Amino acid sequence: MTRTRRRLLAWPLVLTLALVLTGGAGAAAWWTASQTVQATATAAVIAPATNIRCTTTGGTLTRTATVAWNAAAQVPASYRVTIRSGTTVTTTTVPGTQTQLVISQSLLGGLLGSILDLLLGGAVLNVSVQAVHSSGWVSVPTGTVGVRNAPLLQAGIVCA
Amino acid sequence: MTATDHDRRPGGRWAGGAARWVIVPLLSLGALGVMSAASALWGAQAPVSSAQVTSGTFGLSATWSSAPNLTGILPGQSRDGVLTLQHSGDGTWRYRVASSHTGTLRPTLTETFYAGATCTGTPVASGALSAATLPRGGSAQVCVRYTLPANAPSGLQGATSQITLTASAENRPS
Repeated sequence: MTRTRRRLLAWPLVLTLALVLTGGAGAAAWWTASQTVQATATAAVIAPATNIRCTTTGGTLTRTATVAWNAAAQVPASYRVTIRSGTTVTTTTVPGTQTQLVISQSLLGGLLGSILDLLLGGAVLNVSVQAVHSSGWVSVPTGTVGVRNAPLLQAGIVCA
Repeated sequence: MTATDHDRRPGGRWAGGAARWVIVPLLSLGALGVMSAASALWGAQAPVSSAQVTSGTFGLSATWSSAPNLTGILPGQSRDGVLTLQHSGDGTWRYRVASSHTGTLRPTLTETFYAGATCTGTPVASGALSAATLPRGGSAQVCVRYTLPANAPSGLQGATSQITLTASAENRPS
């Protein structure tokens, strides 16, 4: 048998095999259809306290600085009051129903010790407030107010 | 001229061989035609109504029957939505729902799928083929629960994500 005849005999076999293979693959294909839907997710933003202000109160020998603020739009679990001087920072927490804090030497003495030392040394302490949600998320800080040690002939803390 | 003489001619083997490859099938077809004609002598005919063959159709619509409210989500909160898949066309089918997203919130915001209208029972993996095969024209509901974990960082406040759910139906034998 010549090479040409062998080729001629081989073609039907090749074609048959190809038909079987492609026919089987076609039968196994699924129909498919798809469609999309969308949703937009946005995380909450904790409403901050606003309008922070400082008022000096008390007698000449017992000056205190009262820092007050307007309540956040949603009552938070608490407010975090941050007192800072340079890189020295300390915080105290008040209930979410409270919108002021009286800053006294005794309060500062109970916080980070160096804060009181800075105050007594003449530094101005900057005070800001953040609303704290029950989840732990905190708002952006309000603006700041300053407090400092009372001037000569007075005692206590006054607004800067 | 005999076949032997024909084969002996220069080039005759090729010409003769090729001719046989053409002639033999033709003769076979001819024989089949004769047989067909012969069988017609014995056959009986009856008219049948003409049959129209058309291809099937296969479609899917996906809509929120209850869209999840994912605005202002807080740590520890979950929000649910219900997706309705409606099949149109032919064939039994199964479905899968997969999710993709853009934005910074979704990697923290978790997403869980449940078969049915309520987010209860055993969750279904995203992109997994539904367990049951559904009838033609049927519908299915998928509950999707989004949860912001309690330990989500405060820095995510105001973060957003655009979430795209792709529902796919596949024609599957019942």
